[in-house]
Amino acid sequence: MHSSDMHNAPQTQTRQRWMGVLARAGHALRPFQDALKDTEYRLIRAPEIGMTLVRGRMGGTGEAFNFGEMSVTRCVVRLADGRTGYSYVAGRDKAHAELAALADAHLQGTQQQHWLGTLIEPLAAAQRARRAATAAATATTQVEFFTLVRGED
Amino acid sequence: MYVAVKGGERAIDNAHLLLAKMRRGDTSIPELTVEQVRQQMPLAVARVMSEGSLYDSELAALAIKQAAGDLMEAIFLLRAYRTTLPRFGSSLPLDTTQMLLSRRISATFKDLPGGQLLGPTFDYTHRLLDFALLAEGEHPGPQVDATAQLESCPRVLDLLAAEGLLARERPSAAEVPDMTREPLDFPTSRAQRLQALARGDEGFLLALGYSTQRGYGRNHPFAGEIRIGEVEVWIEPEELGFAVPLGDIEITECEMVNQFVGGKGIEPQFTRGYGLAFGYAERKAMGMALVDRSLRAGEYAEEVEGPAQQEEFVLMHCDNVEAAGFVSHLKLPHYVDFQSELELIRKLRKQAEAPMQAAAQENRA
Amino acid sequence: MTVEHVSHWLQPAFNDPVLDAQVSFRAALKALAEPGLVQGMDRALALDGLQPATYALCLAFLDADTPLWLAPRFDTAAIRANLAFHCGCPIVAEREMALFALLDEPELSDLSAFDNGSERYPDQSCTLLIQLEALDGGSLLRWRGPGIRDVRAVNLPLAAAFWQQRSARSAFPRGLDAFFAAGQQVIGLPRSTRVLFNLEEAA
Repeated sequence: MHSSDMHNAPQTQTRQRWMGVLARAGHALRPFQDALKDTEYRLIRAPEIGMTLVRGRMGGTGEAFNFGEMSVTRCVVRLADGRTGYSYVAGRDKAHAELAALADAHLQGTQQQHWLGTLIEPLAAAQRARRAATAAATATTQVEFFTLVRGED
Repeated sequence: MYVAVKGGERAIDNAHLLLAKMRRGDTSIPELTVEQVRQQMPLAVARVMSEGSLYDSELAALAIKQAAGDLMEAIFLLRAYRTTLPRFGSSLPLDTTQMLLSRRISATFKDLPGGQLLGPTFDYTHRLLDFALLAEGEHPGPQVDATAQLESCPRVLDLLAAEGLLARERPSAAEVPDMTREPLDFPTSRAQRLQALARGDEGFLLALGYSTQRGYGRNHPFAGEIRIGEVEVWIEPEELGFAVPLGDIEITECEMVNQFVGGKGIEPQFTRGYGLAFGYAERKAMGMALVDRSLRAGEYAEEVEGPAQQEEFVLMHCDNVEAAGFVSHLKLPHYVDFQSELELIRKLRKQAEAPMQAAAQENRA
Repeated sequence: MTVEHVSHWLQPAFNDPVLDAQVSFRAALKALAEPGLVQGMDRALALDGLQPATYALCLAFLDADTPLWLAPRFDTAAIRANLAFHCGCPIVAEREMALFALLDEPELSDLSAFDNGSERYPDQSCTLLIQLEALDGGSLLRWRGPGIRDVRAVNLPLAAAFWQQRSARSAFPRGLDAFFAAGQQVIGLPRSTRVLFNLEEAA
């Protein structure tokens, strides 16, 4: 499959969404640790800390340029049934990366609905709430201009 | 000539111990935690991340603590650490138009879609010391309407571009140069310059930006738009075959718009300067945008008359790790070098004095 | 190749990526420093057609900055997927572009296209990683040079063609450095080692 086709496939978009939710979850994954690890698995790539070169665009929309690096931790696990789970998460939390990879593997299996309902949706809701709170706080600083009466007439 | 000298080991060890003691200060005062630095000095953390060229707020805070608050030393520490990390590829270019904004202002249009969002800012403060901060206090922030939402904020410069008064920035498929792998070679591309400026010293870029407005380079800028907020970072790992989000980072973006009167076949129009920095770093992003624009002199056939327009001067001196390193090296023992200089000066003095003494004797005679 | 297949091929590499890579790199350095002496190299598992020592050399040496040329025998989906995944090294089709080459014995009869460095940058030559069935059993040759006191007897199972090719590509400081790997063992052969074939040269 071509990478662009792959990118647009609905199952890929679903997976991108949950991987994004997991990448932002951080410590919020800890309470799910026992459930996520309640399976046989091995590390194809043990959690590994590195960095990704972040690119920007000139004027926000133009040609790409290299902006600076960010720390990233990645991990790949394989469950006993052969499913492979991946994670790429900002920061240097190895436990987070391992749990996120495990969750990605679980989410590709027959229990997908279960994991979406118990893990992804609650995390996504918390993340939405945080964003909404940031936006609402910023909204209090929106300037409401009014023009003073001018003296000419 | 360099001669190896030994004997400083004990002195150096003790100097390090004394440094640690100085950093800790009065032990009757609780020790500062890294998390406190991260939470309560976010702007220092942002500067260290930008110029250290590594987005990691915990490490930047640790570096600040270790450097006893010397931000340039902290930047050096972070740069050194980043060289130990393997690189997992490059991100897709950030889509800053989709930022979760915490601040967005424009000096070019009062009423603009999405509005002016001040966010947390030092602007409009009176710069009077707040003695209330000498005591602990609660800072709950403003009354927030939890249901309030932000309108969508299109890019301000797109409004001008739509009128054809400003060139559109278009993506290109060109390979992105990386100065951390390929050393700079002059003349540089704009992509190389922006990478160097993004790591560049805030004070240096600010001063150069200021110089362009005092007449060292023709530049008449307006802050077209400044945005601060969180943006998603995506990477496309080879083994996956599709892109995935890594999480969010906080960035500051500044688009300067500059008047350009036209000439040499180019129509009168506005031109752009772009600044981008990690974290909340408005001054850095503005300085960078000014210098980005001034370094585009060649593109607009402008006369190069100020230091801010000279790419070799700007790019070779904007990195404070390099600058501090070179200046620091002057502290290294130059005992032998200096001995030979000393002898030379004494000899020259003697030669200069000999005729004078002869003349003096003649006068006496 | 679809991505599902890539996932399927991936295997664990080093248990402890940092420590195992350091230990393997150290052993490789020792192999070059003492040419002809067998060094243990047991930190990796075998992968497809790669024996543990060969794979450990790959894992210790290769990264995004080291283009690799693969001999046809090693150009398999599993090896490509795992090297891309664990090392991130670009795999090149032209031998001239390679900084490392992964070879088996039949490839040794023609080394003409591998870069042997320049007078100015002899270090930028291609390093050969050669997998053999065993590190002995060939005719006994005497090696001399840096890292060897007097002379060392080595009986790598190599055809004469290899030695001809090696000397044809040798113009010190230019030349090719090689590692021979079999099972969990490695022997290094730097360009500075002189190999004596007959009595006159020994004299």
